Amino acid sequence: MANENDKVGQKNLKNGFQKLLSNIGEVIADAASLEVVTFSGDFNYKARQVITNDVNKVKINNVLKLMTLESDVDLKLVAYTNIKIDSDVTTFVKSDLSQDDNDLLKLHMEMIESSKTSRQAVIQMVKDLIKI
Amino acid sequence: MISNASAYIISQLEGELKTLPGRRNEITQHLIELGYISLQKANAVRPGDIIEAKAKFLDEVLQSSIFPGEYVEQLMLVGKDFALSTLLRKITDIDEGITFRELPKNGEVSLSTRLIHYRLDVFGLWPMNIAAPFSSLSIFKLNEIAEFAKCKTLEVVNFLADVEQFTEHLLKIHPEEKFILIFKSPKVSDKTRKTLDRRHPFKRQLVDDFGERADFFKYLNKNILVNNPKNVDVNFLQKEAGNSFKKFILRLIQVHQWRDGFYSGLLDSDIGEVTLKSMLDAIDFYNSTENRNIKTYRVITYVHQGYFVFNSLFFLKEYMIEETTPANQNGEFYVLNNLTSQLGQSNEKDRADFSSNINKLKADIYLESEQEPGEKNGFLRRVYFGVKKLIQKALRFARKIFSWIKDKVEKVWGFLKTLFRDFFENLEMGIRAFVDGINFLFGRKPLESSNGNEMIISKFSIDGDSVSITSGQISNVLQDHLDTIGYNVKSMKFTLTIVGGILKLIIEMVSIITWPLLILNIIKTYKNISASYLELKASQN
Repeated sequence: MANENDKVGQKNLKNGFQKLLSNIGEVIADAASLEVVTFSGDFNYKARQVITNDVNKVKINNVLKLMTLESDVDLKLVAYTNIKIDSDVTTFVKSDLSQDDNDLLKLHMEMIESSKTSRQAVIQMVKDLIKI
Repeated sequence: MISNASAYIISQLEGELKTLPGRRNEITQHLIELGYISLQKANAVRPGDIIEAKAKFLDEVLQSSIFPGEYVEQLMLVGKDFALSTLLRKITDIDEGITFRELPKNGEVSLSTRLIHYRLDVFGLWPMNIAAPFSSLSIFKLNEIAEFAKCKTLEVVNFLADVEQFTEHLLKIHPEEKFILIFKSPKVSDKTRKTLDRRHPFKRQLVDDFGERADFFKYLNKNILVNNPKNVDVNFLQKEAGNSFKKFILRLIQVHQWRDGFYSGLLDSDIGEVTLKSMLDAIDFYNSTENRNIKTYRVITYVHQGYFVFNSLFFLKEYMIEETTPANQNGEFYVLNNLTSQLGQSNEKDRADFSSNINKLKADIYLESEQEPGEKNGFLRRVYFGVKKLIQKALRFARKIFSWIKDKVEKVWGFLKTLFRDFFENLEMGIRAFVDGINFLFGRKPLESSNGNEMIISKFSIDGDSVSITSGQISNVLQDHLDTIGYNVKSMKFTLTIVGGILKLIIEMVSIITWPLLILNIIKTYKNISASYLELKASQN
């Protein structure tokens, strides 16, 4: 535990929480739609790199840009789903799906459900937070 | 993206986790107590023994009807070690332990039979392996207690689930003289004997309390508590010291002392220097905390040839029975609220002293948690982890705890260690949930499943967006990955509730936030939310 006499530590604590609250506010403000994306490729190391590169907001273009910049992996978009706040749903699915691609679609469908649950939990948290 | 200032909070909290006591040794201790690891192995337990014992225990938990499957699943969502230690604590709890509607069948070996043998063992009445099948010996031993408690065999099992209630029952049905105990403790040092040789004042007190209401008291005054030790009736002392009920009461007191954190020796029915010291410490503790001046001769005196007379009636009523009121139900919140409120109002020096000493308290608890369970002369060195009684005691002293920590009062340090061991466990779970939730919110928690060339990585962001990237055929890793996602999404609901609860408190006090205040608020929030969350889940099922 930081020492109470450590004024710098106490100041950092205060600033840290103020910033944390502000960070959460900023990201949530940009949540008009829900996006679920599934890619397939043939890689190991480079994909991990994408994850550790702190892609804090999932945007297909950003991910693709990163992949282009950092890897020459042939990354294929398997499916993309966009659910707008008014419940309009748009889904793109790769056209030449093979029998083996069923697993990828199953993954995508499960991720849609999980994303909806996550969104609901975040909304609930924010609702609780503003009920002061 | 998370800012450096916010990341500072997470790194500080993660640093805090490293200083908190772990549950590893506690789990091992309970697994030995319940016979999943043999007592003979206690001094050299191998990792393989622990893995095997954990698996066997979980298997028996799922087979028994003691815990609903949904409840076990909820605990597992928090963490496997958390689930194990929570279940093991419930099984070994003798404050608000598990009760039974019927006895196990003859020859049965199950979680229930282990639990019953464990309870008999705590009271020094089980000579066999805890894992032995339920048998006529089990019934015989239960009936020994049934005779003392004047109740049926099944009632004994349930009485031993609540030692306080059991003690009250015994005090109610037996006459006073049954609680004036005589024991022989030949190994006690001359110094202790000399200090405790207060026959005359003890006798005066006994006359004041009981007069000569029974032949026992008359005899004691005339033939035991006499001026000349040569005139002491040693035969009477010997006979009384062998009285099986009175020996059982001595063991009961040892159990009370162990449960309250005053006694850290072996549960062995041997009233030696350590047990005697624990009794004297208890008197000292209550004197100093309640501004009283109870003399030791109020409770005990040395008599002759290693024999002591002990007024356990006074000791049990005064120190071992806590008043139970509806307010006790929220005792821990009352204690924590008192602490946070006094900390918030204190001056800079007091806050600094409190902060420094709470770090010392934590370091002491950590050191203790690192001590591996061990066996000596066939008895297991063990720590009690039930908290109901502890919280009742804490409630009794709630207004003093802040200054005890601030001033580092040595006399109560043992009690504070026991109390804060529970608080720090909640702090650990609270921090883990908070850090997990924040990492989820800021997309810093990718979920990965891989097997050879097959790999799936999925990541959620704060507003629920998700991306998955796969490599190779994924048929062999898909189900594992979906399970991982399902597990994380379920636990995430809980962790986000914790994050929300903590942030809400921070918003209210961000201008005055300090580390100790943050720590206490994390404990409060975690305790509050986890209790209501489990309650809500139980009501939904």
